[in-house]
Amino acid sequence: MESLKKKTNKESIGLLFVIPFLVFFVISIVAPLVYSGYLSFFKKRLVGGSSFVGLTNYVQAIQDQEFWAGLKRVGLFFLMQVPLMLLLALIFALIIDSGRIRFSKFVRVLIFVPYAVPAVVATLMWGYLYGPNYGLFAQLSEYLHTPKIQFFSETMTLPSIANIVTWEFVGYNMVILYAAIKGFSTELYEAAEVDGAGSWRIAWSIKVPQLRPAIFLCLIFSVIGSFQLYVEPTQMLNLAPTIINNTYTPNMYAYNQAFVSQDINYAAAVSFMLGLVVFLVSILVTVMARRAQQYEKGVK
Amino acid sequence: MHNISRFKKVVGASLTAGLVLLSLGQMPANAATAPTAAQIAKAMNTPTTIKFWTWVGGIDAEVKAFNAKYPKIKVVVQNVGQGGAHYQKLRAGAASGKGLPDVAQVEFQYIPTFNQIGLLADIKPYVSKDFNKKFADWTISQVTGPKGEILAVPQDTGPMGMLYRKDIFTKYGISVPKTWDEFAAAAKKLNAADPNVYLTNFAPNEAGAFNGLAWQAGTRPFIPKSASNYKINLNDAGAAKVAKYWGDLVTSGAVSADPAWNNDWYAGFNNGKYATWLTAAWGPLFLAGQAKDTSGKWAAAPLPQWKAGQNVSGNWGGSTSAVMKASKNQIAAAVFAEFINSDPSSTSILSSAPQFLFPAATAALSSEKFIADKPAFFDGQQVNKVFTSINETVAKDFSWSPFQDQVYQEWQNTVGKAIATKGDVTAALTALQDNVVKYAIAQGFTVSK
Repeated sequence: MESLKKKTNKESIGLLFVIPFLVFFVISIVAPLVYSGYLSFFKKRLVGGSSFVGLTNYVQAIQDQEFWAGLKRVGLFFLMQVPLMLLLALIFALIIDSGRIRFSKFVRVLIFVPYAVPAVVATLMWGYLYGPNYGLFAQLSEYLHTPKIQFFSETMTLPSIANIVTWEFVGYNMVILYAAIKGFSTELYEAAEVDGAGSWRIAWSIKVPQLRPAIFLCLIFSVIGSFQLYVEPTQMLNLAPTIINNTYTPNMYAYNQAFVSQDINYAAAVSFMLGLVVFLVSILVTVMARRAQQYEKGVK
Repeated sequence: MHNISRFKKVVGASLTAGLVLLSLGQMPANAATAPTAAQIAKAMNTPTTIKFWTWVGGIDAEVKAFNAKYPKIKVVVQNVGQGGAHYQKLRAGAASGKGLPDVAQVEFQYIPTFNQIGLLADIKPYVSKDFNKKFADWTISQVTGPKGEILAVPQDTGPMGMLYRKDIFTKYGISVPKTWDEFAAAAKKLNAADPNVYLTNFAPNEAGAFNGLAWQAGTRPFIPKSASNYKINLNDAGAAKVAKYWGDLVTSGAVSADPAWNNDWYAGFNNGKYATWLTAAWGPLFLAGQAKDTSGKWAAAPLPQWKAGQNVSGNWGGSTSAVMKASKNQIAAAVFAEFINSDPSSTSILSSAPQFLFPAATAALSSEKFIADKPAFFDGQQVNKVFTSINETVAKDFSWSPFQDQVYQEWQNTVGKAIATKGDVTAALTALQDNVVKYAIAQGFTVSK
């Protein structure tokens, strides 16, 4: 009896600790989600009010070419931007960890600082540099008599945004990877040195393989970030108004459905569809990462 | 038993009280009979607090002028964001029925949009008898609802004119165009003489400017037949004329099509890339702030006309102060809205530094000080005088859609896109019409041709 009492006591104490989190989690995450889900089954019109429509909004979203075009665009963005960003983050983390450069602490901060700049400010700043006539790059091209790069052309706009996002988040990912490296035991390095491995070899054969879980973590964060792309293209609306439009990314589309077209119900359905896609892509990435690991183990 | 009957009594009593409160709360909204002058005077002499949402900076000065006459009414000014952000909060308030101010800034173009969702109060019973005479005629038609209600008090306006670079015109022998034909010829002449200079820029992201020019050309895109039935004609003769005209000019390359409201665009004015700006009465001051290097080289003139000898203009921008239907102090709110926008002690503040709004009140428009202003940026020209006379030529019977955000967004995706890509602007205008009609029907409206 006594031990049982002790056990329940312990359990209820655990619950006590979790409650503050649970309360906020329910209020700020679960409740809005449930409410959005509820809204997505209705249709409210300016004339005639609200009525229950079942899955109509979801059926409409599945057939909505603008939604899929936006989704394809952020998918492309993910494939283009994330590998480059993570590669850069990895290289920076390894270089700083190698101790081969001077002022490594300063460099670390320098690479991380863009993450502290609000995305709105970063986009305004880059937008200014990108300006087709009087931007810094355009002025440089003029000075050097080279053709101007049209950063807001049909093909260049997405890479232009990718550049901004990379600049913003490379430091963040670098810090995650660097922290992971710092946690590795150094015995292996010493052993490898004794065996005659140089610092390149140590980085490639010891650090990188151990970094896999950290890289995977960064990758999952990036999946979510890429598919929810919103702030940067929205801030660039006045720079490339006819290329970046209200359907450019799924998030922009949902926002516009809710606040421009006044169709909150459809916006809710689109948001759920987007959530589902992010969930599926995350699972896909996880499965692929596991497979790769198992395959390698098998080879060894 | 005893308990139950007591329970019933309490519930019954509170229910009745609730109903009474409810009907009291609805009183101002349903007020069919106008309150007497004495009732209004009493309301204005009762300590009351009203909340006012606006993004006009420094409006506390106008509130002070109001309080000099009505010391019992306390006005709390809140800036909840400019334009879109502000409107979103109004919509949220309308949806939840909570948190709305008593008075809010609403642009002319959004009055039918917010009236559609039942946000705006009819203040006709509360405003002064000569209300209609206090403001420019065309602004009165803008704030008048389909049933003859007064839905807002005009604050400032944007009658459209042309700002031009005198020095560039002189250098290339261009005389100030009086008609759109002359304007097109001048555009081609100027760009042929110097390919780096354009007579003007036609922005693909400024639906408001296009709308103002089409307004001048006689377009009447939305004619309300009833609250749920609209005649929609976004590609009528007026709009089609404007679309074809600018489509041709942009395609020929004589006029640039750079997006507006970004650094490159501002620099274009400062560096002499654009020789004119077809803009509203609030434009002169905005330009003076953005193109400082060209100070003294600019002048103002009316818009070119479609027929020689005509004198018509359209409007682009401008705001009102609207009383919310949910307000419990509609009398005080309406008197306040009328006062700050029409009493000379307040409008003299509105129309001078640092607010520099182009006032809607006739008294302010004819004030000596306002007309006599000679800004150095325009080489001492009486710019306000130019726009004051343009203001009298703004066509009266223009009305907006009940879902203006959507119309502007569709414009961007169709007409705007065609301008930016030098595509078929006329076809884009037809697409705009089709998309908006489709949207209107999906929203439950009936559309008559």
